[in-house]
Order: sequence, then C-alpha cells, then structure tokens
Amino acid sequence: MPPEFYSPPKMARRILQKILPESDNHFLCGDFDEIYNDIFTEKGPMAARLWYCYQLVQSLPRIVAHSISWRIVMFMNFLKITLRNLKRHKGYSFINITGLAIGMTFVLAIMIFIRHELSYDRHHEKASQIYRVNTILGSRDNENKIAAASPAVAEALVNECPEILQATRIFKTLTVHTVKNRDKSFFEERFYYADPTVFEVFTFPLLKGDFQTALAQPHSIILTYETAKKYFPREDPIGKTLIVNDGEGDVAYLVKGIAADNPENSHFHFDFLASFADQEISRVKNWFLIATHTYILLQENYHPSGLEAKLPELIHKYASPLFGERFTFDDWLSEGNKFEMFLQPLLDIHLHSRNIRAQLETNGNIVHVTIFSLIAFFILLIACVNFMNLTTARSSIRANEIGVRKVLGSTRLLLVRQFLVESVLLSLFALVLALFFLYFSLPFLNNLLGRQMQVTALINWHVLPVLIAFALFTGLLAGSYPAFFLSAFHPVRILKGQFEATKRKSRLRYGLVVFQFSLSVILFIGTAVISGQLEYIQTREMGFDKEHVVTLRTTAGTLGRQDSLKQELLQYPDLLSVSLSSSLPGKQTFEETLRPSGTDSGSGIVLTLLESDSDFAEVLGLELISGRFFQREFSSVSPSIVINESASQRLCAAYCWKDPLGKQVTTGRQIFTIVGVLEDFHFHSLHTKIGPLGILPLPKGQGQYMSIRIRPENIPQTMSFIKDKWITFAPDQPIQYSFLDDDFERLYNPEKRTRRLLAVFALLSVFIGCLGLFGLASYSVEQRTKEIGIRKILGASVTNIAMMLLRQFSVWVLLANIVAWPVAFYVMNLWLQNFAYRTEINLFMFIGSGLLVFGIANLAVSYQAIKCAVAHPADSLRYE
Amino acid sequence: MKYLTRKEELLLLTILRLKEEASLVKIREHLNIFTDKKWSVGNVYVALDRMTKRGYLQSYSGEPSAKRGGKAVKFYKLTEDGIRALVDIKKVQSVMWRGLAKLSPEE
Repeated sequence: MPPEFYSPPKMARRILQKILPESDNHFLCGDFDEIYNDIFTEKGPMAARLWYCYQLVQSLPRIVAHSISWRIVMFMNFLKITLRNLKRHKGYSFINITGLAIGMTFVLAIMIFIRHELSYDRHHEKASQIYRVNTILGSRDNENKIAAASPAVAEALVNECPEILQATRIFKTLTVHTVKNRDKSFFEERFYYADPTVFEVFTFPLLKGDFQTALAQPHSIILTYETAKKYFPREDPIGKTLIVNDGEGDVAYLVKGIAADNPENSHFHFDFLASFADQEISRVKNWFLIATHTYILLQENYHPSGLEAKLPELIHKYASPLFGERFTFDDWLSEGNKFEMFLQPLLDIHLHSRNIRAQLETNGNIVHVTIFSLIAFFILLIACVNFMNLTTARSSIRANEIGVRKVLGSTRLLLVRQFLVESVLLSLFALVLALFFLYFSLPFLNNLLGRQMQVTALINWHVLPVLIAFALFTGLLAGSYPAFFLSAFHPVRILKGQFEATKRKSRLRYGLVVFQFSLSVILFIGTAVISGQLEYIQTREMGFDKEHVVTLRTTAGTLGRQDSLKQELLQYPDLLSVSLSSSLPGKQTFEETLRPSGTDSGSGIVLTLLESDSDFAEVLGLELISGRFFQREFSSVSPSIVINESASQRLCAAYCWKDPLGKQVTTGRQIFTIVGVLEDFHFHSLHTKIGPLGILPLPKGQGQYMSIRIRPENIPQTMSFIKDKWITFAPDQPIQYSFLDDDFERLYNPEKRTRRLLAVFALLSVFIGCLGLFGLASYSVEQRTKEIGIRKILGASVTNIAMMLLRQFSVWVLLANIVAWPVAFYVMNLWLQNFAYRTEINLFMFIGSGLLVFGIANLAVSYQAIKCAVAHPADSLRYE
Repeated sequence: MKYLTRKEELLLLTILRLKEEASLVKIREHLNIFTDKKWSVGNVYVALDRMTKRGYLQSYSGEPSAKRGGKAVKFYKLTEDGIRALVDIKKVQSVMWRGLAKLSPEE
C-alpha cells in the first residue's frame, strides 16, 4: 500500500506558501498538495514535481511585478521626502553633497590613474605571453638586476627551448642620434634598433609597409606616423632615404614602413625602429655583454617557471667557453660572483621594475599606486564621516517625521531603508557633480601625476556599472550610521517633545571630527617634512659648485673635435674654464672593482669610475685634500688616478696604507698611480650615500659631456656665444645644453611631485573637514540660540560668547593634533629613510601644521560663532 | 445589472453540479473534463475569490486530510444572489437564441 501523502519539493513548497494570498493561504496550499498527490499517483513523481515547479515559475513574473510596484510607490515617497529635505535645508544639502562630491572626485581620479597604470602594454595582442629576459650580475657584496641581456641570448633561447615561440631584441645606444632629411635635421632620443621579429612578438600595427619585410633588409627603418610627418610633411616617405648619424658616422637608411604612434601607456616609445642586424653588437657571442633588451614570446598558457628552471643550465653552457682552463666559470662563481637570468612578464614591467636597472624608460611604481589609493580612500572616508556627522547632527529636525512614521506603522527596517535610499540618492547627485569636477580638474591632475589620462576612460559601458556600484557603496557607507541611529528613536518620546541629543551621541560625533582633522594634520605634516627635506637638499653643501655651470652633450658632429671646440670656447672672456668628461654629477656612471696591483682579483673595493680631463676639478670647484689633480700633459707611462676621500679611507683600511698617494692600483686591465685625493662630494643624488669614486684621465678625442663654468654676469650673451660656436662646429646639429644645478634639481622631481600631491590632498581634506565643522557649528548654534540670548541679557559680551562657542570646537581640533603627531612622525620618518642624507624632523613642522589646521578650523566655526554672538537677544527670545 | 461572464457562468454551473463536493481541486478537474481545456489553479481561484467577494458564492471549510498535507479543504456553494445571476444570464441567452436554434457551423 502506498504512503498516504507525498510531499512536494520542500523548497518550492515553502516559496509557494510565501507567495499565495494570505487570506486563503492554508486552503490553497492544501489544494496544491492535493493536486500534486493526484498527479503523483497517476503519472509518477517526475511529472508531479515538474508540474509543481511549473506552477511556481509561471507565477514568478506576477510576484516580481507585484513587489516592484509597491517598492516603486515606496521609493517615490522616499524620493519626495529626500527632495523636500534638500530644498528646505539648502545650506546643509550643499555642504553634504559638495563634500561627498570632492571625496568622490578624488577616488574617481585615482581610479582612472590606477586603470591607466594597469593598462600598460596591454595593447599587445599576446601581452600575457611576452616576457623580458632580465639579468642578475653580482659580486660578493652587491648585486645588480638589469633589464637587459646579451645579444646572443635571444637566438640561443629560441634554439634551445621549444616552448619559446619567438624572441626579439631591442637595442638603444647611449648616444643621441641625429637624423637628417635634406635640410631637416633633429636630435632623436627615441631611436631604437630591433630585430624583424619585433612585429611577431609585439603588436605594432603598420600603417604602411609590410611587417614581414620591413626590418629584414639591412639599413631599413620604420618611422611612426608623427615622425614621418615631421620629416616628410608632404610626400610619401616609403622608399625615401634618411641620413642617420649614430655618433660614429653617417649611415643612410631606407624607410620601409610607417607604424602607428605608440600608445602612451606603453613601457617604451619609439620614433624610429632601425634594422638591428647591421649593428656590430648584434653579432656578439659573449653572454656577459649585457646590451640588448630581449623579449620572448612563450606558448599560450605555458608557465614561465618551467623555462626559468632551465636557464641556469643554459647559462652554464654558454658562459663556460668564455673562461679558460685554469680559471673556469665555476671558479668564478665560487668566488661569490653571480650570473643569473630571470623572466619578467611584460605586464609587470611598468609597475614592478623598481630595482631593475637599465630600463628603456622611467617606469611607474606600485608603491605610488598603493599610497594614492590609500589616500583617496581616506579622503572619501572623511567625506563620508562628514555626511554621517551632519545627518546625525540634524536628527532633531527629522525626529518628528520619524516619530510620525513609526506611529503610522513603519517598521524600523523600513526606516533604515528610507535613510539608506536617501543617502544613496545624495551620493548619486554627488557622483554627477564629481564627474563634473573631475572633467575640469583632470588636466591639473595629469600635470601632477605626469600622465595623459582622459575622462573618457570613465565613459565606458563597462565602467558605468562600477561607477554606480561605487555611488551605492559610498551612499551605504555614509548612510549606514545615520540610518541605524535615526531609526532607533522612540516615537512616544519624540512626539512628546522630549527629544534631545544625548551626551554619548555627540561624543561620537566629535570623535569623528577628531578623526577627520587628524588625517588633515598628518597630511600637512607630511607636506611640511617633504618640503623640509627638499629645502635641505637645495641648501646642502654638495662638495662642488653647481651654480653657473653649463653642460653640453657632445654629439656626432663634434666627435673627435671636442678639444678644439674647448679651445675656441676658452677664447671668450666670460667662460672661465671648460672641461670634458665621460659623466657629470647626477648623470649615469659605471662601477668597477679597484684593488692594489699585485693582489688577487676578487678582492678590492667597488667604486664609481669616470673619466675627465685636467680641468674637471676647476670647473666643478672640487677641493683636493692631498696630492694633485691631473696635469695638462700627463705621462702615458703609468696613467694617474684621483680618488675621493671615501675611496681613500676604504683602501687605507683594507690594505693598511698610511698614505694612498703614489700607490699602484688596478681595475684588472690597466695599472694606475694614485696622484690625488679629493674631498668627498655628492656625485649622485642625496638618496645615496657618498661612495668611493675614482677619476681617470680622459683619452684624447673623447668625452660625452662638456661642462663650462661661466661668469654669473651677462649670461644671455655668454649663452649665445656658446651657441654660435657650436653652430660653426656642427652646423646641422642642434645644441643640447642645460645648467648643472637644473640637472641636479631634476633628480628630485619625484619628491617634488609627491609634495605637490600631498599638499593638494591636505588642502582638500581640511576643506572637507571644515565643511563638516561649519555644518556642525551652525547646528550647535541653532540649538543654543536661547541659551545665548539669556547669557547676553545677563551681561555676556560678544567676545565672551564667541569664545565660548569656539572653545567647544577647538578642544576637538587640538585633540586631533595629539592623535596625529605620533602617526605623522612614524610615517614621515619611514619616508626619510629613502635618503642617505636627511633633514631632522623638527617640532616646528608639527606645531606649524597643527596651528594651520587649527586656524582654518576656527575660521570655519567663527563665522557661525560671531553671527550668533552679535545677534540681538530679543530676536532669539521673542517666542518664549 | 451586470451579467456573468462565460467563465463565471461555467464555474457556477460546475459548483451546482458538484453539490457538496465543490472544492477548488474538484471544480478544476471538472472544468478540465467538460471544456477540454487546461484550467490553471490560479485562474480558477481568482474567479472563485472574486465571486465570493461579489456575494455569489459562499465558502465553508471541510475536514483536513492526509492527502492535503494535513490541511483543511474549502468548499464553495452558491448563494441566492449567485443563483439569481445564473437565472438572469440564462434568460438573456434564451431570448437571444430564440429563432436561431437551427444554427450550425455547416450552414
């Protein structure tokens, strides 16, 4: 005998019970059960279940429509109330919405920024399969990560590893190229050499020409669209010839194609791509010659770790032949040296290349991205706190409404929902306003961040939902506290008129004020400390005289003739001295190991080496401690070397010398005699400690840089003289000059940018904070009108009352300072660790920032305080 | 005076026929057989409910049974208003049909 009752699916049954009309719920459920059982016994369980579920699905649209229609009715009511409140309290609404909008503007801007930073190199079709081969070279006590590899690596990798589909090399020389088309000639910084495979690995669309053949022939070249317009404004460049001077001589290149301009969010940008194969260096077999940027294209979905595991073996195979029998590669490694390679995903290059040297261009920094997002989040938080503050402060105004709603049967949940809807609506308004703000402030932000971002990045169909979700989130965040706070009112007490903001509630409100202002104080202190550090940098003795020094890049046209150019320049009375050198302070240098001659390789000290002529010390104003600088005619028997104090100390300590003068040292290739010791001076930026440094005599006819000390008077005439002389030497090449102090200044551009950003953040946060404080003050004054009236009648003066009101708020701002100082101290101390030479954090920065914020906050409050204090007491007491 | 719709008329007639047995499930079953169409529960219920509110029908609850998951059943019966409404519609129909009795689709 079958069981008497078959139960329909539990879930479905429960849902059905929920949605059936309430009055007949019981009967109808029974009816459905009965029919279910009938079908069950007749046609089996499947049919019964199907039928039951079908009933549910069938009724779904109606259920949804039903609930939506009621929601809409309710929502319209919420909307109406919100708009009424907005209209009635215009001041509050303005403060609320603007504050929120400013916070949102920042978050949006940062969102664009992060999107931009993350979009780097994504335009390459196979971006996720492309990796750059990086090298690690190191000795016992230091290790360098280099973004490049030997020219031989690419071919070897493709031959040895089947998982590598293709490899390509990009090469850039340190010398600036001069490119000429008939009478048009320009310096070109973005001149790259590349293998023809560059088009297989990367996606560089060609507007003209065929990428299969474009770089295949020797001396072929590809221009970008903009460059093509620059050189061939009116003709078709394909098949035309460009004369390129690469620093060693003129070479004719045939234009074979035109590439689309590189997108801005690309880790390198070329104007020219020339065929690499005709460069000598492309055929180098030495794996230790790190010269080209090498990119490989892996098979789809192939994990690079498998390949990375093979690299040591490969390195061993190719590096070993470079060593002799007596001293093998393994011996070299066992001395503590290091030679490794690793793969860096193309998409990581822009943000994760912090410690990797020899980048093609300056990259972004993931740290900045994190810091900015944090700050933006905090500013948004301040704006939200503001919103909460103002809304709860005004709770007495809304109290009656809430009371009536509750009496009329509104549940707490419904009230919570009402306030959340309200705040979400406000945040949507704010979002619209924020988009406006953003549109107008983006050029400024671009300038600040050094990027070219566009608002259009936000006007995008898949960003729109994010934006709306963002507004929802902000609205919910800002509205959550007021919603729960306001909906908790007791209706009877409110309607009896016993409503009063309790002490506890206002304490929380002021707690939020403290939070806001501590953030502002921290930001201000941050700005002050960075300014202090920059000031310190500018005033610190560099150990050389960086004022009034002109630096020139000697280029192709003057090559080998620098000396005569120097002599010509010295004719002019306002040019005090001229020097040629391989590098200048603030410019790139190379490092080598120096040891006393006769000792083992593997010992010695690492020092920065550069080459200069005999006038170097005079032009830069370097001071000698002992010995001499190079003489004008130096003997070629044993070249001399001048070292700095640090190097001298290191050498003396390592080899127990009393006096380094006259000692023989070697880099392994050549032996030098130490002839002089210079006082330490800052060759690099103040981020790094002064390290050991050596200066070697410059071989004749060389020297990339020319530095010229000029008289401080008549600088324009002097400059025009230098330019004229340049033209006589290199008529077809533009002059490249700058001032040494400017060059040095430029090294601190990132810090300056951070300072500007922080200053903007600080000002904005204090502005938003003040908006909130202003609102709170006006509320507080409103509450105390009668009290103030009575006080005045009893003889209080205007100042008395204004002070009383100011005091109330000042206490909290002062408290904010106390909270902020330790935090700011900790954070800024951390930041200063970036510098080897740093200023002290002094109390003045803290007091100054504190006072500033305090003053601004008081200004915001004082308007309300004074307005209230001068009001006639009769007005406030009239209705009593 | 408003006339019954065809659906309402059919429902009332079914209830009359079922006498003491006129529960929603039975009514629907009958309708399905008589009209050779599928009547959904909702369709029947809404019409019954409306006519109850209009006063044509009266409902009373029966005994709960195991087959119904332990829930009681609701029976319907016609009120005097309901019967009058049926009579009214029948009168109108017979007047309208007079003299057209031989009508059939073939002619």
